[in-house]
Amino acid sequence: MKQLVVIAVVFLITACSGDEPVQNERVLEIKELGELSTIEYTIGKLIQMDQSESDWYKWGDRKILINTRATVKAGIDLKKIKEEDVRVKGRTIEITLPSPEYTSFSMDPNFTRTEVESVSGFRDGFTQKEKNNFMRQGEEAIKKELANLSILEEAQSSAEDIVREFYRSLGFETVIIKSKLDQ
Amino acid sequence: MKLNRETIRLIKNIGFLLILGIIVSLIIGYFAGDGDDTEKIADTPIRIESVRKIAELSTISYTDEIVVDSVEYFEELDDVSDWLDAIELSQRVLQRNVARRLTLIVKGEIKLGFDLKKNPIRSERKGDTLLVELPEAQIIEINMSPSGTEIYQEQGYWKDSERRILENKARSILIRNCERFNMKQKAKENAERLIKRLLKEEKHVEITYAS
Repeated sequence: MKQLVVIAVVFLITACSGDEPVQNERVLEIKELGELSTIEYTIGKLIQMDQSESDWYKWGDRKILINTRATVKAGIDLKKIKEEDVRVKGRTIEITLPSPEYTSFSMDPNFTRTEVESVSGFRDGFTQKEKNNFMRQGEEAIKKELANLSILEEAQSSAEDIVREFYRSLGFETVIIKSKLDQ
Repeated sequence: MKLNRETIRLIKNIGFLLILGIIVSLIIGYFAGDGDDTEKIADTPIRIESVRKIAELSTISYTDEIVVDSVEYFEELDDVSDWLDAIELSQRVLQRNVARRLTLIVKGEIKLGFDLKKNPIRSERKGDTLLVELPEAQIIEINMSPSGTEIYQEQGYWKDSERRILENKARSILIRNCERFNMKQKAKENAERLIKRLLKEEKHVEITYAS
């Protein structure tokens, strides 16, 4: 009986231990790059959520409008240029550039603003977790929409201009640029 | 077809149970808290705010995950504002005296390299040596996004501005951690390798940096 009491006390003490400190486990990655970003799009999106109709059986409204902004960059990965992609004949150079790609996507929290937040009746206010979930959906929606824009084509043409200028500044008279897109 | 009494009773019972089920689920739904992960945002169009031609050569990236935390505790027990405030008292007991807490895990990426639009590459030929002058390596961009941000724990009400302070703190820690690894020097070394590969036909390439 005495042993049981001791076990019960130990169990209670361990069960009531305080908050565990947040672990700062770092995931670190250092990566060698060769990205030449040539075009930058700034894209805005209004994130809209209205639960008045979906939760008709609950008393009160719950609406939110978040204005957010994303920065998308595109260009070419110079690391993908292989030896056989560069051919030099005297003052003429022929280079085949890799296909353009998105080089970065960022949604700076400093450009995210809640424009309208309306909660009434017995409804709960919006938590930061929910807002982050809405913004994640907004991020996904922007990424999906990128396919309808001509970012990659513009990045390709801009990259060709930069590479041409680079080789001309090195003294090449003729710079022939080919793209993997054309092949 | 004539239904016997047993069948009618069975149908009545099933109907009653269905109605009861609907009522119970409505009550549960009514009183259950708001905010689940299945809420979908409306389909709104994007707007292009600006398009800019740039020339940024990124030669190294640093990715890190930062934990930022903000905690507020209740005052000492002597300062309990109202002994009849059940919410405050229960929070003091159940939440270990924590009044509010917000913890974020932010995954961010820093890219370092050269802004060739502001500081173009200069070159000069001296005999059979090609002199290439690169600008100083710098932080080109810091990428953070909602998909890389996790609200690890949230207790109490937090304003957007308070969350933003935490996100900016994570950003500062990210930059500080990155600087510890001498990344600018690594960015330069990678750039040199890249330039030499693009100029593979040149016998002697000498790379210097603008002061």
